[in-house]
Amino acid sequence: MMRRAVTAAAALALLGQPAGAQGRRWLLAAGGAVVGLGLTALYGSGDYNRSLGWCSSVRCVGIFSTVSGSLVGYMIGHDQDERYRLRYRLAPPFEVSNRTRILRTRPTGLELGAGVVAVSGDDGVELVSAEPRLDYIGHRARGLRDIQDVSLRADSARLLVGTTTGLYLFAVSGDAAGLRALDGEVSAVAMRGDRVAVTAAGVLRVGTVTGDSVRWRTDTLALAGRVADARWQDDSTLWLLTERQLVAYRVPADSAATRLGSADLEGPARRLTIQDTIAAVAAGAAGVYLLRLTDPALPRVLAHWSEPRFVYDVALWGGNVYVAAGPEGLYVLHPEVGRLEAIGLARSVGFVAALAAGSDALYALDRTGGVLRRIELKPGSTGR
Amino acid sequence: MKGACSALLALVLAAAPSRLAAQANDADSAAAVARRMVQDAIGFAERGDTAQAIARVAQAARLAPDLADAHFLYGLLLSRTSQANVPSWGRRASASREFEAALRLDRGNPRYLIEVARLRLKAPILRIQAERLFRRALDAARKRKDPALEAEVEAEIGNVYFRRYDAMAHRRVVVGAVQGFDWEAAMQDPHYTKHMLLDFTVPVPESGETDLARAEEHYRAGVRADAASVAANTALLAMLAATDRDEELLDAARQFTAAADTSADAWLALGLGEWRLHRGPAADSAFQRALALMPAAEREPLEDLSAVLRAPDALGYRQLSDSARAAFDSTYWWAAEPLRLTPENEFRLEHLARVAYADLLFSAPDLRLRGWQTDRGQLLVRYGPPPVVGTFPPDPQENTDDVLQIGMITTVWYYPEGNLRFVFFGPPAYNYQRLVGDFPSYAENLRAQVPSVYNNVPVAHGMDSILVQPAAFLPPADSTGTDLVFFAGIPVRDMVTGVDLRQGQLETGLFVSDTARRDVVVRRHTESVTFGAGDQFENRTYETRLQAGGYYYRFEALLPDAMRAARAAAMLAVDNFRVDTLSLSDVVVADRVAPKEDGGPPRGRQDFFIAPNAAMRFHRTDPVHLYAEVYHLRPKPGSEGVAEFEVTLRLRVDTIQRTGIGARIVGGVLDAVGASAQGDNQVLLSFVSREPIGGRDRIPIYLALDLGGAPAGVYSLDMSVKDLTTGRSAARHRTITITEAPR
Repeated sequence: MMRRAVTAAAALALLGQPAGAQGRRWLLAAGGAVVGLGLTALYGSGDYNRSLGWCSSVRCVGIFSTVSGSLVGYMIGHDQDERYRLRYRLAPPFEVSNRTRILRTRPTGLELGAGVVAVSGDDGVELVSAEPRLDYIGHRARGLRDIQDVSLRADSARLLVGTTTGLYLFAVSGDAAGLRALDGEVSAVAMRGDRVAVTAAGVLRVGTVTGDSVRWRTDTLALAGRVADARWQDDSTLWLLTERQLVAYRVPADSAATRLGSADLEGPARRLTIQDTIAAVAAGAAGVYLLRLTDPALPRVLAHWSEPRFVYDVALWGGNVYVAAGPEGLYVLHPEVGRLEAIGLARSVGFVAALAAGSDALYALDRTGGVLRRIELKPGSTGR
Repeated sequence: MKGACSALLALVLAAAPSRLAAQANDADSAAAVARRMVQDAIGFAERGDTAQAIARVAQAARLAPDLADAHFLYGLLLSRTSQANVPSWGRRASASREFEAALRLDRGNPRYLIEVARLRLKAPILRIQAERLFRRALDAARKRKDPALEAEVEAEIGNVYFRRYDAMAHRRVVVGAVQGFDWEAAMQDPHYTKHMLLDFTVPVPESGETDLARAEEHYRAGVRADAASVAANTALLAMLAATDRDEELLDAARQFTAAADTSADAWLALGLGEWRLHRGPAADSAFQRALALMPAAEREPLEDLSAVLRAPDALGYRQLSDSARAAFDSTYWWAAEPLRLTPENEFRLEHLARVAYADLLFSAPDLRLRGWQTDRGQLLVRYGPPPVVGTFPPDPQENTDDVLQIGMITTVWYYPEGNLRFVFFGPPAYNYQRLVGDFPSYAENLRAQVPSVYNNVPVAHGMDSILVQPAAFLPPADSTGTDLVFFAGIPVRDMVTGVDLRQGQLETGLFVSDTARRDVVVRRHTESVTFGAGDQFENRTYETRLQAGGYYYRFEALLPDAMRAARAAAMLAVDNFRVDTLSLSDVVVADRVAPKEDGGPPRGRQDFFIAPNAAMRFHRTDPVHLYAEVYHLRPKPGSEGVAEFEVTLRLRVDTIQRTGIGARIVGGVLDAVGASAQGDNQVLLSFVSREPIGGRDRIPIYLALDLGGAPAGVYSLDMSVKDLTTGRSAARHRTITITEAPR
């Protein structure tokens, strides 16, 4: 009798696994009722002392166990429905397949180069192969503290690390130690070919990597406000993301930088990603912005999605916008005319703190487990 | 209590419309008298006389049964002075009756509904009812278009869920044959907690997730309703801080300060957020702003150091006058500052951040507790956030006579560094836990030994030591004061180990303060160091001139690229060599002392190559070189300016008892005559020297000791000089260490 009851309870618990859709409460209430009836049947057919006090009759036991089973099932199901509602309040579930690499540092940022993923953390930058196996390549900038931004050259030969004390240049291969390339608090760094743009101590500086050093132009451009991120759009167009603005600069190789135009954002903007003439901005509590950069003098906001609690980072891939929403997970947005539609939410990727899109995969930093995830995506594989 | 009553008063004043004041002087009706009594009661409550306040408002409620404000205030005072325990049941019931009376007279008053709900929260079986009442209050606040009240209710509803989450967060399940967490075993066996948390239990992922998400929804709704709401913002900030969402914490704190620029709570939270993201100067600025905005009564607990002092010291500290306490605080943080090379005092910022965090997380307004007053708050302020936390459900097998102990959640804090562990018991869904069993005694014993720890502060983590050998000399004849030379051995090699840079900056600094903590010497120096070099030059020397007196010095080194640091600090007594009597400089203990061989008699340390050994640590086969200067020697009468003096050197074992040590002078002596060695645990060397003074104001002594394989240990080195002309003596002392292994 007892063993059967335990089996029935286990069945109920199995039914109570995380729900894939709402409506578990009724399913589990029915399951509970069935278990109750089953127990009643066992009770009625068994040959043992049925002295349970005032409710010893099979009828009474049947009513009691069925109602109790239903109630317990309903309550478990209700909790699961509620959890489902809260988790997927903005988008339906979206399952992703991913490979992981456990990181050695407490990760904070992510940058992708040719075949290399650079993960910055509290003790330097870990380099991991972008291939599906996510092989460990090496560790650079070990011992550097308070890393603010990292940039990999497209060919992944050089790595620039900006910290609160300066900018440091490292070779990705080999074991040569790095060199300080600039003094002062660096907030953002962007490299394109050998050209480097750095925002440090309130100014924009542009330089060229030559061998083991950076040759800086003597002219600098004063900036208003702290720059959170910097990206090159092409060889002469640089975008700087401040807390409230996305600003374009013309940065020719042979003359001083000039401001072209800007778009206002609700802050605090954190990260910027550019694909051709489209940009996506992770704006913290203000959500995600999608912008058209066809004319750098007149950047235009195409859509704004402010539903998630906090957006840590954003990536563009396959025509969709991928949103690192911290503890909420990874949202997938599809651009519609004037709006972004949430079409999926991947919860299995943990606390997504940073993202980078490669040609065939998305790389996500899961802060909870301290792991790098390589998410293989197929167009149209989202939940809705 | 007075603070609580003032807060209560503020609530009442917000709830009681201004008609109270306006009508109090009206007709001499019973209602008018009752209104005056309500005002009197408010006055008593404000002055902290709660008993009188309750008596007066009870009288008012009897006199004017139709006066809702009187019933409400009466209920409020009873409610706030009741506990969440069985003996307070009667008081809670009376409060409930008064609230119901107030609600009958003013249906749907959201303020009344909030207080009824808060009262229900004190009875575990009525908590579901409390949630329903809060929702009614929320509807009422929305209907009355009162965003501030709406935000407050949203925060209260969020708190209901957050408390549930709190009971489930960090939940661990036991694996294997172990029954559950046994706090008595944790008390007796120092390894039990570690093994339980790391080996015999596993965390339950996403435990309490639904309640956390609901809490966040309500908190954010509260902030949306009223961006300046202290209740909603602080609740949201506490949730973000508790779940380590530091970027969001900082963002929310910034929004809060933008909406409530004069709120000290907002700036305090901003300081916490900035500090968590390692932005020291910004954190410092936010904390300063918060403290400046606080009235003295609120600021005091924040700056109160009694939690981080040993119990007897804390007792004395609390008895200090305001000015003496301020002076003590200032001295404490001045002495505690980990590094003066950085602009901010990291330990003070960490202390403020801990207090702010404790206040955010452990405050229980329903129990009239501020976070830093609770057991958890005090320990958090002392030892920082616990690296490992586990919660365990109530033991269903538990059999106790004390009904109040049934169903308690067990929370364990574990600090691997130092193996500190604390076990708390508390009712689920209340933001209150206390140390269980003998753990209060354990915490007090620990406090006596380690009153506070700041090893979670990055700059302090792995802080290295600098060994400094200060030496005082007579300045040149035309100068006053005393020359101080600081020979410092900076562990550059250790500091740069593991830093992936070819070269970088090394900042060093010497800071000398007088007894009034005024800086008398501040020297900073920045130099480039090559990180990869196998052999680092570690000696640094700073020279300065001081007047005789007592000083405190700090010698610091910092690699800003890696935020690795080292430091030394000590008291320093500076003698005056100007007194015209025989005196001896400090003895410089060095790896090598050699004259520059420029022909004439050496006139001072500038005529020697001195490679100081700042640590005064030698391998047993290394020679120990010594350098000192003798001042104010008198020429022997009839000797044509030759001074005759006896130098005695005594080397005594301090920390080991070994016999048969021996030593001999192997070189560098002046005109050593009659050098001898004797003793059992000590060696005594002496010689008489005759030196032509020749216009010199000092006679340098330098010698090298071969310790002859003396056993490893700590030795006292005493050098004394006796002027054989005047019979006067002077002596100096050093402590040196002999090691088995090479330095």
